[in-house]
Amino acid sequence: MWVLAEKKVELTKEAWKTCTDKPSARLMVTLEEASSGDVIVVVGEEDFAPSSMVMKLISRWPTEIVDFDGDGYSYVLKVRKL
Amino acid sequence: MDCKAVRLDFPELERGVTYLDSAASSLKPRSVIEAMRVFMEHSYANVHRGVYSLSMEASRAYEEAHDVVAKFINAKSWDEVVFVKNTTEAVQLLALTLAFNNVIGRGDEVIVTEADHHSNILPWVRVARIVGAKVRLLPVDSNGVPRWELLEGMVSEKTKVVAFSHASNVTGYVSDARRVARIAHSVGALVALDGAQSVPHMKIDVRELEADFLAFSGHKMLGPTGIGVLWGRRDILENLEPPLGGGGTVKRVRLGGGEITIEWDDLPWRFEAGTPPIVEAVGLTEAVRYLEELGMEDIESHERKLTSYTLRRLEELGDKIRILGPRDARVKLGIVAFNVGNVDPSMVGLWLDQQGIAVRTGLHCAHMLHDKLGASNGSVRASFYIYNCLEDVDKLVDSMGELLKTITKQL
Repeated sequence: MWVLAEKKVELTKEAWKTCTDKPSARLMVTLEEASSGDVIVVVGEEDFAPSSMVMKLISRWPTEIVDFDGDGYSYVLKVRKL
Repeated sequence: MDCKAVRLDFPELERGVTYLDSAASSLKPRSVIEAMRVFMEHSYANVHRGVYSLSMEASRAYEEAHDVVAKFINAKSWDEVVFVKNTTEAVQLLALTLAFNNVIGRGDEVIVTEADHHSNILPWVRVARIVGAKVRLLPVDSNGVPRWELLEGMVSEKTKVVAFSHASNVTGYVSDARRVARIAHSVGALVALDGAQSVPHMKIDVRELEADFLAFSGHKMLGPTGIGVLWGRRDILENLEPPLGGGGTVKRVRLGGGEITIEWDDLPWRFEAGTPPIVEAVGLTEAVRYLEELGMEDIESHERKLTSYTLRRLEELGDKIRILGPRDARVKLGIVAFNVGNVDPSMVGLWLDQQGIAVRTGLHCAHMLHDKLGASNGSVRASFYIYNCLEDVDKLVDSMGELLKTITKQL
């Protein structure tokens, strides 16, 4: 696997800082602006941004899941934009 | 009201969106778009400054807009209507005017509520800080409803203004404005209503409500952005100097003995500094006509049905959906805010967007209310208007049902 760039998005309560700085908006913008081949690392908390929901949301863009590692409370999801 | 027929007047709906964000801003009917286009193409000129026909034609249209709005809210006369940019600016202008004229001074109090939109809190807080007055917060109950039963114990001769949101932009709760006005007036305080979420959705009669001031936005009631209204009782407004001076606000400015003297213009012009929102006023006129043709009582009734149906259908999804505010549609109007467990509301908003549903997510400019409701990360807010039908609610609830199925293990 070759990687052009790696971008990280945190979907956690800690990352939710102000009412105008929404993690979901960052996820959307990151996916929108990513180039083909870019890998996006999503660090999330299951109660705040359930991984099953995030995976479905990500499917709106041409992507493939590269890796998923979770313990039921938090997870790291790696997605490559096609 | 035939919502399906109404929908045909709103071209934006042709793209297939289920629009449930009218509390933020409404869609625009063709008649409003067309009125503004025709005016710009044929009748546009600056108002009140030209003797040429075009300027007089534009001035007539602009003045007529004041009259149409005044009748819409049953004001005594057209000159009680001041056009501003939006509700936020209307409240700001009012707060500054009262401070500028020493109606609010050192040691005085202004009462607002914990349920209010920031636009009805921050202007008063800032003015109070400047003049040495105090803003007191009327608390809310566990449903986010203002505890109006405490108001009598809070008001005193120090209270100069009681300012509050007529309808909450989060819970949709509609306060009994006349009851509040009577308590406020019993100590000589003025009553300022934030009507941003009530004027577009129900029949408003400022005299029946016994209000002194009312603020609302054109863009939430089918009109364009860039125009809002500050209505005020004539006998109060005519004794106040505007805090903003400039073009269009004066009858005459003279220099005598090294001093500049200002003779302020009549109402409402003295409060409309600079070139006003002329085209926007034409759009607002058409918006009001559209609403009046449908009938405000019918609009209110339609929205209550939608609200009631939404509450019932969301409850069917079980206790994972937490509705903020009262669950009784009789006391609220057109707005249902909710959360899904601890899931970030904006993630839910993205989910719904993927199904073609537009809702607002976040704190809705009501941070203290969300904190009080135990929803510090915000909420998902569905809000309705004349072009929404029961099918829109079904689509929302079905999508939420799908989401619950998807994340059931994580909840």
